[in-house]
Formats: sequence, C-alpha cells, structure tokens
Amino acid sequence: MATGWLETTVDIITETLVAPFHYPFMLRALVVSVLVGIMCPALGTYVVVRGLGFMGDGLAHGVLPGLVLAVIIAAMVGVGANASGIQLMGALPAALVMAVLSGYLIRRVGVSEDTSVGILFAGMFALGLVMLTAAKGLPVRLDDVLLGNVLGVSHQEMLVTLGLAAGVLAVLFFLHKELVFTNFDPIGASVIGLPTEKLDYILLGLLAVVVVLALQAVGIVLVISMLITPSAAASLLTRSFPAAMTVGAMFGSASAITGLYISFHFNLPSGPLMALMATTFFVLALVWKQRPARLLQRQKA
Amino acid sequence: MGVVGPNGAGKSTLFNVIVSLLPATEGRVLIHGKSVGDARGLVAYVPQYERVNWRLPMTSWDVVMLGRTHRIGWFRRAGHVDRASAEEALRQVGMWDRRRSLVGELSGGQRQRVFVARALAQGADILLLDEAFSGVDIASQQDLVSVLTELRDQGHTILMSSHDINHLAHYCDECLCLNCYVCACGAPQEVLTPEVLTEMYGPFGAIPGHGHGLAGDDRGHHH
Repeated sequence: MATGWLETTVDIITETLVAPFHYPFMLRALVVSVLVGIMCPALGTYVVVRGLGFMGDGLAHGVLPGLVLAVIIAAMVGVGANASGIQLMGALPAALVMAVLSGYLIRRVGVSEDTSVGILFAGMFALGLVMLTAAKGLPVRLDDVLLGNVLGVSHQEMLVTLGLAAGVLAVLFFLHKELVFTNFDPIGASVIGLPTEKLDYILLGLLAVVVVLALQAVGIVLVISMLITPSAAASLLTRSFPAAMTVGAMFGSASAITGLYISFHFNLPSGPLMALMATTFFVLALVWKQRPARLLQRQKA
Repeated sequence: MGVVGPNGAGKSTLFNVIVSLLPATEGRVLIHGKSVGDARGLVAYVPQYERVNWRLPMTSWDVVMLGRTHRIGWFRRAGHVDRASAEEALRQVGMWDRRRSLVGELSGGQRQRVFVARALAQGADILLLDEAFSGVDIASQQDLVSVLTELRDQGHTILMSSHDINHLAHYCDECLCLNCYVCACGAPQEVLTPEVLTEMYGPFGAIPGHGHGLAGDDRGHHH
C-alpha cells in the first residue's frame, strides 16, 4: 500500500515536471526564458542602482519600428516574415541605435534621462504602431509583440539568444570592476583614467541587447518586470553587488521556470505569468526581510 | 594646501582641471614635470558626497580595491599584491576593523577615510579632497585631519577645498584663496587678512574666530 502511494506521488510529480518537455517548443521556451531570467537581473542590478529602469522600458517600446520594418522587408523580399530571427534582426539594431542616441541626448544635449525616454522612445513606439497598422496583412500579432510569445521561439532564435546571452554575461564578468567603479564614482573613475563615457555606452548597449532578447519571453510591456523586480528582490537580501547579481539571477530564472510551468498546466499566457512570479518572489523577499524575528532582534540591538 | 573661496569661486573647477576632467583654457598642468595623462595614478580624487552613487552596495574593502583598478589592468582579477596593498591602506587610515561595513552606512568622517585609503592603495602622491568636511562632525574631522597630517609627514601632497574658511585655517600649511581669480596664496596666518576675506566673501563675510556665519556663502555663480 505504502509503496503504491509513493509511486503515485512520484508519478504525479514527474508528470507535472517532465510532461511539458515532451514538446520541443516547450524545451526551447524553457531555454530562452531561463537565459532571459539570468541575463536580465545580472544587468538589472546596474539598472536598479543607476535608476535606468524607465530607460529599459523605453528601449523595449522603441524597438517596435525596427521590428516591424524588418518584417516588412522580409515580406517584400519573400523570405517569409516568420522566418527565424527576422524580428530579432530588426529589433536589435533599432535598440542599439536608440541606446546610443539617448546616450547622446543625455550627455551632449543635457536632457535628463526620463525626458530622453519620453522624446525618443514614446515617439518610436507610436511610429511602430502606425507602421504595423498601415502595412496590413503582416504576419505579426500585436499581442505577441506586446506580451511576448516564448512558446513560438524557433530553434535559430534559441541559438541566437544563447550566443548573445553568453556574450552579455562575459562582458559583465570581464568588465566587472571597471563597470562598478564608473557606476559608483564616475569622477574617481575618470581621474584614474577609465573611459567612463565608453563604459556608459557599453552598459546602454548591453541594456539594448538584453531588452530585445527579453522581448521574446515577456514582450514589450513586461520587459521591465524581468529587468527590475528580481534585482530589487535580491538587493533586499544581499550586501554586496556581485551577490545581488547572483541572487537576482536565481530569482529571475526561478520566475521564468515557475511561470512557464503554471502557464503550461493552466493554459495561461506565459509572459504575464513570469512577470507575476517575479513580483511574487519580490513580495516573499520583502516578507522574509521584515519577518518578526528579525525585527525583534533589531529592536533589542 | 587648502583651497578656499565662496561657492562658485572655482574650487571644483580647479580640481577638475588638475585631473583633466575639464580642459585648461590657459596654461598647462604639470605633475612632477609630466602631463596629466602621463601622471595617471599619481593623483587621486576624493569626491564630494553627492557625486557618489550610494545605492550601489559597496563595503569599505570594495571601495579601497577600486583604487587598484588601473594596477590590475583590464579584464583581470585582483591578486594578492592588490589585497595586501588594500589591507595596508585600510590599516593606515584606521578603518581595517570596518572593512566589511557598507560605506553608505559609515559616518561622514569614516567614509572620507575610506576614500583616502583608496587613494593610498592607488599609490597616489597627490590627494585632492573636494569639500572634505561637508557632513563630517567635529570629532570625526579630527580623526580625518590626523590621518591627513600623517600622510603629509610621509611626503604626500594634499589639496583640500572648502567653502568654510574656519576648517582650513587651522589645518593647512598653505592656503589658496579663490574667488574666480587667485586672491592670495601663502601661509594661512599671512594670507587670511581682513582684506583678502572681504575680497572673497564680501564685507559681511566671516572672519576666523568670529563665529562661522558666511554671508557670502550663498552668493557667487554656480558652475
């Protein structure tokens, strides 16, 4: 009897955890989501301390015309707009161009960061919406772009994501001390001879790449949740920058995995669920930090 | 050497030119006879409080290790020479016991000492301290000054700016008085005459020993 009960439980658990991945598209979705869940908070820790969240959100909105243009060109050339990676190929240069432009507006024109987002990215998003509506019959669904469609990720897109994620993490690893110095004390950093302006552009460039890759998983509207929330949760629980990056990446990938499972079993949209899980982890981190035992301890001290 | 003058007198501008954050409109900056580019690492900057991003969680140790950045080189990690140098610097300013504290949670004077330690770890001969005493209470000012005096005796050159003349008059060997131009330069007791003070702060400015209200403080142009 007892072994029978155990076997059933094990069966149910394997069924719940393993069954989704009998479908190749679920496996691809898992790989991409986890990569996004690691990459976003790793960079997001910088985004949070620099207050660049609105910038990331703006970048995500601003890539729309690039994405739509790529699809239109693909359709005209006859490659088929759904050919793998077309949307990525349009969005990536668009995001990089805008990251550089906004960097220029902020540094050279003296516009504040949120103003540059308002000027550049809202305008670009509007342009993208107009283009999408004007060019009728494009095989792009606005819903997918806005909310993400990680279940539709192709094999090539997964490989591109894998490559770029490795690149982003490598840059964050090898330029760690330089990036931390510039973000902590920009004046001290340039006095010692670090190219602070270039490092700032590198950070914006990484932000552009990460945002575009995250679009696949959570869509334009929810990119900010993956970028900000896991890092914010991690910074509640950690006391050093590298620790915040690591714990953030754990929260991020956990949000991606749990979000994807719930989405599969309850037939709910995956992007919003991942974002929702990220928020849940943040609330849990907050509760853990404010737990009564700890507060009592602090009062005693 | 102390650099004094009202807000907008050009103290920070002077410092920025020395470290070539700003181009000199006239003249050249020479450090030990070399241009600033060749003398990188010899000059260290202790920034004003507002210029640092305190949201970044950094321990005292992390901050001092930043001073080793250019020694370590691009794409590389710190070695034991760097760690030894950071430890020595922290011990010298008396902050070794607080190496694991977040700098954002330290008192103003302790924070300044950590940044001085960073300058030492960097191997700098010349230390620039911008508004070093703002937000630092009297007791910690003393600790900071004794650290700086010790460094001076070891042969370091220390430049610190303040808009408050009372800070510098007591501590400095030399005093450079600025108000958009050089009003005077020399030993504090010779330079800080009523005439020079009027030139800097206007007729209602402070005279050392006569309270610390600085009427000229809110005037002048912000850069």
